[in-house]
Amino acid sequence: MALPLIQVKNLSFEYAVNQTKIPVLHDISFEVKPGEYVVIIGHNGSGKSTLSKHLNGILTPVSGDVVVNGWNTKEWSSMREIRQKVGMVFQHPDNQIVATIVEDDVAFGLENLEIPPSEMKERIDFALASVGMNEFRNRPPHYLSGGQKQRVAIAGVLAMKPDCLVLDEATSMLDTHGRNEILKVVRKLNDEGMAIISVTHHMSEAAQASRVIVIEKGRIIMDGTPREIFQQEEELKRLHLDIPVASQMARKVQSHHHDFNGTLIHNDEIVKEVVRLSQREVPVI
Amino acid sequence: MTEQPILEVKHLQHIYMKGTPLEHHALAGVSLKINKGECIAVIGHTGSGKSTLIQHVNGLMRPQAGDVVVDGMDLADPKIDIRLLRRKVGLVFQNPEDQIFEKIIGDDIAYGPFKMGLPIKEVRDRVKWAMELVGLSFEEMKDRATYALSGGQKRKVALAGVLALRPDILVLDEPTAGLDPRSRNELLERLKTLNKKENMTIIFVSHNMEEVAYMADRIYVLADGRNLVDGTPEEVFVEAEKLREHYIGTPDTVEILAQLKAKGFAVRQNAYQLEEAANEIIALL
Repeated sequence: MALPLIQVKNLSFEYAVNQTKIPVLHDISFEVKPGEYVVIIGHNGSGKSTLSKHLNGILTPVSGDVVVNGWNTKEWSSMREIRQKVGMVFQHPDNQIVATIVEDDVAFGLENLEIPPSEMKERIDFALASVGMNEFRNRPPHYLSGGQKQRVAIAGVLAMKPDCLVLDEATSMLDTHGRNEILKVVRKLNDEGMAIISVTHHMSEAAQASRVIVIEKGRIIMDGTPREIFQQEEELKRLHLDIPVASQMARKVQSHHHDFNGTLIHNDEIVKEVVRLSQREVPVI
Repeated sequence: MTEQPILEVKHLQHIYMKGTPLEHHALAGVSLKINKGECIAVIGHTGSGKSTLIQHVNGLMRPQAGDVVVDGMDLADPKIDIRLLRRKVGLVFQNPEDQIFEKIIGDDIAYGPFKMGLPIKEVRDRVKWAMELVGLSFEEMKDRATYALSGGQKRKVALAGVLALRPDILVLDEPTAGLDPRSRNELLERLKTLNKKENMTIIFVSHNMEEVAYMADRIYVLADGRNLVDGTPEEVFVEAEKLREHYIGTPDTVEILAQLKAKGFAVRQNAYQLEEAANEIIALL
């Protein structure tokens, strides 16, 4: 059994606004193993962004602990190691891009780590190639599209060689094409062994993960595979959430046609299921 | 009956940084004709000119070439009453949270109607109406601080601020980006009511094809600053191939049907509503 990469233990957190405390997270515990692909869903204000900011010590628990690879995020002395292990990408790439040339932006974190120039070049090449932005390396980032900028932001994180990538609604400002670009990159990184934790409102994106965690009022209320989670349509709707279009279709078809598998969650599964059932149409005597 | 369109755009062109080496044709001859009470979606890949186009509708930009006529007002005429135009056309930007500036929610929403010189009672009524419309409880939220809101709630406040002006034409740039599924559905529901019951003309830009399919009476598709296709959702989504060439997706329903069609199944590819699409599959089995 692989050791957990991130351990969240009884995490509680509150924001203090003018002396009044606003509790956001209550007694949250979960573990993320190396190579897992976890999606966190929940409605606006449920606490999911606050939770994701705890995973590399941007925020630290009011009570409870977050332990990354053995380092507690409350220990300032290990912050550098923690941030290197767990990289973070936010909603607006513009907030994360600092340099005026793509390549320099990717190098920014490495300079701070005092990486020798030869290795730096290697890492930049690797990071830009991973997100498919090599040909843009000498361009100014503000002339790139949203999806391209977000890929540059991811490259900046990849250059640090993290074990885990945290995406906080990293695709919500992008168009379908831009979102698919990012999802493709993320899937590839995950296939190569990187753990992914992604906060999103897109149920079709959640369907791609190996595990879905549902947050409501600062508590984990569901935790399971996408297929398990998306069977609970009524409960998700109550939580202001939804199920992917493919699931909705599968359930509708199943209600008329009981042989049809109602637990499907991907578009291509629907197509395969139709093919399967239509091939079987030969009357069996 | 030949009705006067409430908005007519003819061969509109716009060149950014004209006369410099960075000259860029954002709009290269776009035409639209929108009647009072219609709900229109404008879609297109990043950089297709959507945002430039909608900024012309309330006079933020004036036509460099071509015509923009809003309810009889010709925007090429420098002497038009711009305040009257802005009262007719309410524009909600892509990150509407950026347009919030007051400390208290109620004050922020009241700002526009107050500046219109309305009596205080009318201002209050409008603020209440607008808040309820976007799903913010007037009693509970009007005295809350704007800075302590989540991203989704800020979005609602900004939208209410524009609705309180009761514009004839409401123009929205990505109204639901970053909202959770339920907030998104509720907002769309309300916009639809506003459109159907109050006959408010709505023009919205969106990347979310499910949303476009649900809301729009007609769709204009832009590519490289030109009209690519336009028509009802059925008419537009049947052009899935053409849309894909320009990096524009189709709803998941259309996507699934297209895959089935490619496998030789006889399905109507433009059955974009979930119910219809499911029926197409049921008919196959």
